[in-house]
Amino acid sequence: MLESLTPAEQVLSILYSTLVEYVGHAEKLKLHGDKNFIILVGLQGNGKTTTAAKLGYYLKKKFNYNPLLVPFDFKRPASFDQLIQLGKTNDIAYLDLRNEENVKSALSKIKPYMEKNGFNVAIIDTAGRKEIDIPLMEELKLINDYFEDPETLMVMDVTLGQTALDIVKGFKQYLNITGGIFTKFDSSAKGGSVLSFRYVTGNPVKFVGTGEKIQDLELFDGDALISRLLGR
Amino acid sequence: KNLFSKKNLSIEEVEEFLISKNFGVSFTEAFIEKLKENNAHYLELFEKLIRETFDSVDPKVNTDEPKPVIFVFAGSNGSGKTTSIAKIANYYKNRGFRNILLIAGDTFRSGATEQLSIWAERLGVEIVKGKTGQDPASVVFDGLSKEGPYDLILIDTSGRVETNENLLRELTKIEKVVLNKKGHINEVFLVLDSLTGLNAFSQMEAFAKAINVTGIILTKFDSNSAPGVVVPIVQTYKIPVKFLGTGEDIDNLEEFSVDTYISKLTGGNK
Ligand SMILES: Nc1nc2c(ncn2[C@@H]2O[C@H](COP(=O)(O)OP(=O)(O)OP(=O)(O)O)[C@@H](O)[C@H]2O)c(=O)[nH]1
Ligand SMILES: Nc1nc2c(ncn2[C@@H]2O[C@H](COP(=O)(O)OP(=O)(O)OP(=O)(O)O)[C@@H](O)[C@H]2O)c(=O)[nH]1
Ligand SMILES: [K+]
Ligand SMILES: [Mg+2]
Ligand SMILES: [Mg+2]
Repeated sequence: MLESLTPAEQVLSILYSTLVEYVGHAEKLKLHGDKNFIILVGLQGNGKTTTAAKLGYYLKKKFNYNPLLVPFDFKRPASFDQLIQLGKTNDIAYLDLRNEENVKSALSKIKPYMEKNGFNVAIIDTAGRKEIDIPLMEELKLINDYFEDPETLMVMDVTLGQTALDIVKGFKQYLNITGGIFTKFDSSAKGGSVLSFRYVTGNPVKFVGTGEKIQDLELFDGDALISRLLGR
Repeated sequence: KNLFSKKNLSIEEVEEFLISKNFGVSFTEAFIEKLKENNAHYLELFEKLIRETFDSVDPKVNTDEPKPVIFVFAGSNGSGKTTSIAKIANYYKNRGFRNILLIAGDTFRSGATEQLSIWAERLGVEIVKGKTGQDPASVVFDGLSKEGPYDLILIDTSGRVETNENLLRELTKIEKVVLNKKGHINEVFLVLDSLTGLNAFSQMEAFAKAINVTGIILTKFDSNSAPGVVVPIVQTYKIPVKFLGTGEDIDNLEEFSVDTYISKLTGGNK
């Protein structure tokens, strides 16, 4: 097959398949048993809250899971309203911990509530933060360490520029990131930040966000990403 | 690579620096070309070019009479529009603007109106809200119909990606409503996340087509960002950066300064 290609095409073709191999393909969420914890982390405004609702919808509609949305951003104005509204509109349950005294006491309410009401996956939406903000990163570590073997997904905007690498490294210093979700694939950004993520964490990218609506979540497709990157 | 490190950088290292700061390939190539041509030191050339770029536009915010002064905020999803509105309301409140009105033109995103309402309450300023899903242009119309007199009206809009032409047209409609109703708009701000890479250029291009953008607010400047891309943007579109967002709190807003900008780009040691 390669013989019929020009040298330039051959190079591209090899580059293409190497890159596809490298970024990997869709990988399932790490869910098992009757209690699972998905924690969404990342920079401010990159799409965590929206993605939390999308994931709940996806797990409920496609796989009959019984998901529980847990707004856990005590910082951004109306962050609770945002996720609770999304839960109500799309018929996904939520747990309102707004009146808890502190992070620890709020955390301690999640598992018992799941047990009592038969929820098998909690989706925890955390506050946006920058990796250079040490107190906030310490707080996130506390949340992450509270749960046994959580799926800790970093939500990143695909339009992020050349500092994406350092950002991912920064988060990794505090957390055991297990995967990534990239949002705003409906923009014209190529997706170089996805390669950065993959490079630094070695973790799979699990989903991409392709719009603002609840259904706009797709399994990550390595082929499609590389085509996009190489402009094919 | 840090441009300002003691060691003299090779041409390749200068190139690498510019790319890593999101200046983009065209700018970087042109810079290297000039560097070779002029036989200048890269540091001098770099500072000179940046200063020239920002000196070629006027960063002064237009608050000219007649009242009310009207600002519209537009930009990509999550870039910091709503938070910037709160900061700017606070900024002008501290500068003698008495009656300030916020118009919650994001009727789409869950919690958007509540978010702006919380800021309005904290600031003690008025707000006009629409219903979920209501045509944003009609919310703007309602807001502008409110009995004043107002010194300052700030209009929030939903986030939108630069590829969504329907949503971009919505901005054109909002602009028309304001002009019909009041006859002027003082500023249309493109709110740009300074962590954004070259996509910022596409954002500028698409938004400027839809609405007459007059200034840029560069948010999340406190982050690990490398907002070199605004240099080619300012060069191409002749639109100044007017404010910097430097955190999530109400007073984390600064007027743009070239010195702050240059030290951001050269301060890190990556
Ligand atoms: N176009 C597009 N917009 C998206 C996508 N995912 C999220 N958004 C939008 O991005 C903006 C920010 O989303 P949020 O979910 O509030 O982001 P966040 O990370 O929770 O923000 P903070 O809590 O403030 O850190 C909203 O306008 C969302 O509608 C996507 O895949 N495509
Ligand atoms: N660190 C930092 N965070 C900021 C800054 N400006 C805004 N943010 C945060 O970025 C996130 C998104 O801000 P919003 O003001 O909701 O952004 P938006 O553009 O209105 O978002 P949409 O309406 O969903 O498109 C919030 O968590 C803000 O607190 C800034 O200058 N620095
Ligand atoms: K963003
Ligand atoms: Mg959020
Ligand atoms: Mg907003």
